[in-house]
Amino acid sequence: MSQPDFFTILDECVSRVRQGELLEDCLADHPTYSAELASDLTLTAELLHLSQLEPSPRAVENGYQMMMTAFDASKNPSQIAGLTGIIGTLLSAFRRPQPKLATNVLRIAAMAVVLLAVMGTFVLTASADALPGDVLYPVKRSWENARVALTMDDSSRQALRSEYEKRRRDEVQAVQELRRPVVVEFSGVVESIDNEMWQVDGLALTITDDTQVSGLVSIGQRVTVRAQVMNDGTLNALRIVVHSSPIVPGTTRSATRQPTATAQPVQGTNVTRNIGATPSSPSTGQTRPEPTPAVSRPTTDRPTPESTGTPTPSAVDRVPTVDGNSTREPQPTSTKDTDSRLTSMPLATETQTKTSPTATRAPVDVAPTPTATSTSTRDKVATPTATATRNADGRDSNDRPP
Amino acid sequence: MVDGNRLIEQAQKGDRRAVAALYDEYQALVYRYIAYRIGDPSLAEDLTADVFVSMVRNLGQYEHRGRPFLAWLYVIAGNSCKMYYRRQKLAEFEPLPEEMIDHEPNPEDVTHLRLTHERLMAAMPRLTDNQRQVILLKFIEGLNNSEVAAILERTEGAVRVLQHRALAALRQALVEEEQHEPA
Repeated sequence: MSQPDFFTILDECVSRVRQGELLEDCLADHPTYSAELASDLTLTAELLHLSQLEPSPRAVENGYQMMMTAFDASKNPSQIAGLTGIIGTLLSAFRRPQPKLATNVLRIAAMAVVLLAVMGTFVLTASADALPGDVLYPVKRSWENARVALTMDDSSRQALRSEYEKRRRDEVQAVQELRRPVVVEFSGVVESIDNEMWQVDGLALTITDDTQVSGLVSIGQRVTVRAQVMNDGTLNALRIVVHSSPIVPGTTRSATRQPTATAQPVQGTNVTRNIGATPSSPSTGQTRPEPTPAVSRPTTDRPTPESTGTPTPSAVDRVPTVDGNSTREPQPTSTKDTDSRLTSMPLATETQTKTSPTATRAPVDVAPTPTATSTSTRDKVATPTATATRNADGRDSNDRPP
Repeated sequence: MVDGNRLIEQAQKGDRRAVAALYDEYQALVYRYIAYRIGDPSLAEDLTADVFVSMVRNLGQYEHRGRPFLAWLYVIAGNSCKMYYRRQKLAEFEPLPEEMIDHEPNPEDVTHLRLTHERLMAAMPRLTDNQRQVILLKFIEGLNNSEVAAILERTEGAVRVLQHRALAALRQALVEEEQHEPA
């Protein structure tokens, strides 16, 4: 008998055993194959008598919930794509642990990462409208700083900074309207100076005896202001840091053609002073006439000063003393000399450092920053020279916050 | 077995009740397929849940072309098992080589065996996928030859031959497992 006949016989016998017939009856009907049939049919009978293997009710319910969660998520594409995964991961935490410890650790780590990402997104979203004094305000600022730091393109970074500066001013106006007594900080251009009332980018600033001003202030200059919002909504300036030279229409602040000097910052050139000691100039309406150390200096292309220590008498003459009086009369700023003044600043600084003991002690207001190479002098001196140097380096110029 | 085509169409249209009905219909079958493939009933529960999550996510891609829905689920379940082995960096069980299978054994070899779930679970992973499915579908799920043939995409004659080979391989695996059992 051919093999297919055996397979057919076996199949027939299997069916008979499934229907409850005795194994011996089948073997008796096919004595030729009884040996082979007996072996297969015995096993068949064992298999048929085995009860069905079933999953536990808890596993059935868990599986059902997971499936329905996935189903609902797939039905609604607008739902957050990761939601299913998150719920699935959370549900899986209650499932039987995997045999390997590393798997469990990885699972917990994955859950932690997912939870942190969700919470982080939530906190960032919630902090978007935070104002100074709010709990989430530091989160908002940190996020902004991170965005600026992570932006590689210079123009994009500059645009981002401008956007955030405007946001700071809007926040100040908001807390003023709320009359929330908080300390705020913002940057802007000085628009008017009228005794104790200054206007910085539309924000009225009250100057008090306690106000500290770093650098020489005049209309058109960029400043960073730290101020206290009072209960009546007014803004009392606590500290003003001047960033750059006045922005004069028609002039451009370009980089020097020669590399700027990289002389070391002058020790003791603390230009921070109390506003009350500032001589005012009634004719111009500015509180402080600006000495222009380089106004008489030739604006020729001067190479980077070499540290020869050669004294320059003219520079020495222009160094003001600690009480705010210059050894020479301060010169009003000349609009057309803006660029040349920037160019020649470093040389004046270096000369001043080496030749004038008075200057190293406290050259108020006019001490030009040698370069922007030292961060330690950022609060002490913020002058056009620093601006020019940064431009020459090809980096952003004058919007660096203190 | 139900003709799941209507249920599947309704589920594809977003009917939750149809999806629930598919789950009720097939989850135990998928569970047993996985349990006998990997030999671990508890782990099979987890993997079965994954299969049905995958099912609802991919339901839109399913097209009925004459092959039963269960065959599609078995493919997903098979992939799920493979993924499990890959994640755990474990090797799947090697099927018994054909030459090792004794097709004319002594009936005494199996008559004294008291088949239990544990023994079957230990032996089944040593079968090929087709052999395992024949045992599962015909002797455990109780399907007839035409239904098994449809799932395996074989002829009924091929299923009959496969049935004999599957029983022989299972018997061999059971005997070998018994020999490895501690006395």
